[in-house]
Amino acid sequence: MQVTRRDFLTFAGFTLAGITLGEWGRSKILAREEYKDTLYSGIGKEEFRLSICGQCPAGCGIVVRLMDGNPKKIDGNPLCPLSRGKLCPKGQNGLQVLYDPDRLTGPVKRKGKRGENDWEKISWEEAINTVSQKLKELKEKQNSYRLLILTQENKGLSGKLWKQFARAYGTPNLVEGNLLRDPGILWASYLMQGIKDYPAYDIENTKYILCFSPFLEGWYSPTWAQRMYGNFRRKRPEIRGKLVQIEPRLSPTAANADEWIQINTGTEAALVLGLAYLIIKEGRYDENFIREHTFGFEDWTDAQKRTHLGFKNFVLQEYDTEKVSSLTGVPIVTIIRLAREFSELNPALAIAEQRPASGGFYLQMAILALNALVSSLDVKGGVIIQREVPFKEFPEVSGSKKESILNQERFSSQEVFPHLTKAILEEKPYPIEIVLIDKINPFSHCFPIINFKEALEKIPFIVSFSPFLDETSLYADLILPDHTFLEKWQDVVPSATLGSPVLGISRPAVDPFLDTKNTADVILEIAHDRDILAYSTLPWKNYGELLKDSLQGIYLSRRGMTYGTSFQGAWMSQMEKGGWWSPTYTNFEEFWNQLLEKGGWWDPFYEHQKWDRVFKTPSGKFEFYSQIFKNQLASIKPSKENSDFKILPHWESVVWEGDENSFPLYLNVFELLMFSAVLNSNQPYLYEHITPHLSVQWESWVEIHPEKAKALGIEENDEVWVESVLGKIKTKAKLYFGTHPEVVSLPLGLSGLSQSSWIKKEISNPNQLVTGNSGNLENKYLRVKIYKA
Amino acid sequence: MPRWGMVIDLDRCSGCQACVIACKQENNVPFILPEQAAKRRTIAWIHIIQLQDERSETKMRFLPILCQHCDRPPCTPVCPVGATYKNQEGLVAQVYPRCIGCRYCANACPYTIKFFNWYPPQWPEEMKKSLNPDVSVRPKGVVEKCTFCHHRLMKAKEKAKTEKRELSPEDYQPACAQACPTGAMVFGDLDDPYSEVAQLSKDPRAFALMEDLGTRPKVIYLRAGA
Repeated sequence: MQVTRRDFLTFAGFTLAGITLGEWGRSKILAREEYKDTLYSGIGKEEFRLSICGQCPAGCGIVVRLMDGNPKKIDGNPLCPLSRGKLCPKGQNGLQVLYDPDRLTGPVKRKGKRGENDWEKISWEEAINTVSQKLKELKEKQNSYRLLILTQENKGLSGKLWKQFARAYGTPNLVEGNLLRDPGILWASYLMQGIKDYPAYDIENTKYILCFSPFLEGWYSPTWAQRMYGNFRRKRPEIRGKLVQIEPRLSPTAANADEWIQINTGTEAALVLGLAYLIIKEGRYDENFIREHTFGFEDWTDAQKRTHLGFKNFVLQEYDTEKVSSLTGVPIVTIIRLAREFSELNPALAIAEQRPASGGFYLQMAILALNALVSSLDVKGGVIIQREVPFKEFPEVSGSKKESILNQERFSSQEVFPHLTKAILEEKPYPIEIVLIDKINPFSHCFPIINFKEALEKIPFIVSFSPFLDETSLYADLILPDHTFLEKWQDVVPSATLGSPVLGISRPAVDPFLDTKNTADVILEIAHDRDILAYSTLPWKNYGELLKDSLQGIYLSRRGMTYGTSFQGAWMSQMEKGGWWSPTYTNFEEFWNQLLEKGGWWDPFYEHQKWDRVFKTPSGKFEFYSQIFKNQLASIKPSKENSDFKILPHWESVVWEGDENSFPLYLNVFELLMFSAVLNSNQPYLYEHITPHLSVQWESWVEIHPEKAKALGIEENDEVWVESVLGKIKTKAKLYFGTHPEVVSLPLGLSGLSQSSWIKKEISNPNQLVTGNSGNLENKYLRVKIYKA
Repeated sequence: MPRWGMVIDLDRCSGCQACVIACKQENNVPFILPEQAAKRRTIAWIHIIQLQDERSETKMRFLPILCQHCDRPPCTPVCPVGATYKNQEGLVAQVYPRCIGCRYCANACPYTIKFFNWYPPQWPEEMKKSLNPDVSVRPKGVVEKCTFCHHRLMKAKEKAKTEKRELSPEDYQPACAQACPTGAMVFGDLDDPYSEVAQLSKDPRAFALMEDLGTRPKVIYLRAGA
């Protein structure tokens, strides 16, 4: 070996330093090598396992890359029709949920006062026994209806399990919040089409989108929405989809749009009907479709020989362009141009699902009516209705005859929460004694939570199944932590996206890291106590058994296929169209194995314009004038006056809470792609890149127009108070030209945890300011004031 | 030898940041905590920047920016220790143990996508298991940047070799392009006239960032709009 002068000096220097400085010096010299403790020492066995992303309820299929059994990276499952190998930023960040250092390590019992964050570790046996005991006591006292179950809307088996449990135990109080969709559209779809399901939008195949909601952020399946957006723009040769965004605020979606039209808050429905006015007046609607497949367009006479106002004359009377223009603040020329573009470019699609603040379900009805005018219902590139997954039915149970504390069906979950809170606080019609909370954190999941904390305090026994110590589980008496998604058996039926029914199935990608338990298994274990439920109502030992048994329904339905490439899907679709079906399996075991190997099941075949399937109204047609609604209104409060106005889609002026002088500004809240619907907000990468439209990290903010800020003496990054009649929060001011000068905007979902390894200070929660701001018949919005802290 | 490059179609890109997170997960990019981030020291090899339209004040666009892997990189000639250089593949590489942290290269880069490690990388014990063993963790005091997931290229080459075949372009793509849900990012061989990336790079909408500097970037953008 040749020793150069340089080598010698280096060696000599280090040795000398080592001798003179001793141990302390050596550790200092070698400090730069510190990162070596992360050097890899495994044998490097690489594996890829399938799973389903659990960051939001969308249910995208994923592939997990593991090295020596440790997950290293998550990507989309190329065979999954939803993700097709792609993934949204939340999905990409799934590992920070699995490896979250602040997760609960096992079941805990509250030691101190509620909300004090003082816990005692207990065994699973004790935890389950405590819950069972409480449920048993309640049942013995014939008070089983006093159990409240709070969870997220879930069409898969774990959701069905909760429903069955509630019915069999005898409580009508199962409240499900939807974390991705706007319940307003659910009701519009039910009233006008007779379908109690969320519609899907064929974004990929449409030519023109008139959009009232930031559809690229936190709504729908984000991966799906992004994928469809890309294809809408550039997939088809010679066709480039045009996106027109109509919003009070320049959201990232609006920034991507070809055109952003600023509209006055709460006047969206007026604009939609203003467009309908022009389309009708200029005869641009699809006459054939209107004549054959719709009801209530022209004036009509009912069985009692009473004449009712039709949609056409109603709109022509009420929504002339000049009036609409002055209401919405959109210039007349723009309205005329939009109406012409929308009716000429076919297929065109109008979307207005607004999360978190829906413009009311009349807006959703108006949107469906607008889509109907240009016959964009159940066509390629239009509004479509997803088919159901043919699960095997659960055993019949009678259910409770007791009335739910919500006492009538509500039109949105935004509206449900204030009512629920009120019912619990007032103990009307009866008090709630136990609440089970699963996969939902109303404090950060864009529900109005005013007084919700007080309502929780009122309930004697609170059980949470959250794997994370979020704001809701902080108030629990007992936490039975669930696995995170990579650690458990899962089944997910994604919300309506592509029209075809989809079911994702996956086994655990890794063994559980901590002492947690799958909530579905815990429910079944509790249910097996004969004093709680009859065994026949939930006759499965564990969730795995339930899964396998329910899938028999799909196996026997003799349609669809396990996840496959889009080519295979197209092939199967063609075959089913011709009345053929060729399975890749011969018995149930094979079917089951293939399911796990591919990640799920779907039925790619979708037949457009099957009117009897998509219009289940009394007339069998699309109803501009909803007869279901008419009957419902009549049953709630029968009135002699002509209530046609109430039934037809219309615009109602918004009620603003707070008086104009003390609260001069309007409040707008919005969701972020990075944080909407996540169960665990303790994810550092997401906090580093909260949003692309502002440079902000690790904190919440309020958007205020630069001119307004100047007038109020507020500068960038100033600490400010935002105050409404309901309360006030302290946050940081960001000057943003994209917000309306009279509106301030606050992001939701950032405040899941008060303390964690990364977040040391509390992030103020705008939910505190928000009341039942949406989706209801009353249509209330908030006024605020803003001042320097 | 393929000339690896990327095309980003800004008409498809929605600024969703899936590429940003994918890159961080793949490349063991350390978190920069709130107090440190306030000093603008966050590391993101690829990130979204906002562009304001000059013609209208109320217009904004998103543009993902990453190392442009210039054919004539301004950052390499200024490195006093040869830590950053253009490698045989044509990619601009960074040798961490050689780097003395002078940050000349970071200042020379007109795209400002070279990042300095102000702090030793830190992960909670639980999270160390998520580190990608194919990518070395950078110590405090060195400059780092996008490598086009070079480790994936090495792996793909080895795999092709053991399978006794030529490396095909499908074998290799960086984490960002793999994740991109809108399909805005296309990666491949710019010299292969039949590859999608080469064809897109000749699109009339194509442009490179700061073309006038003569850096000849291998990241080509496609203009948004019709």
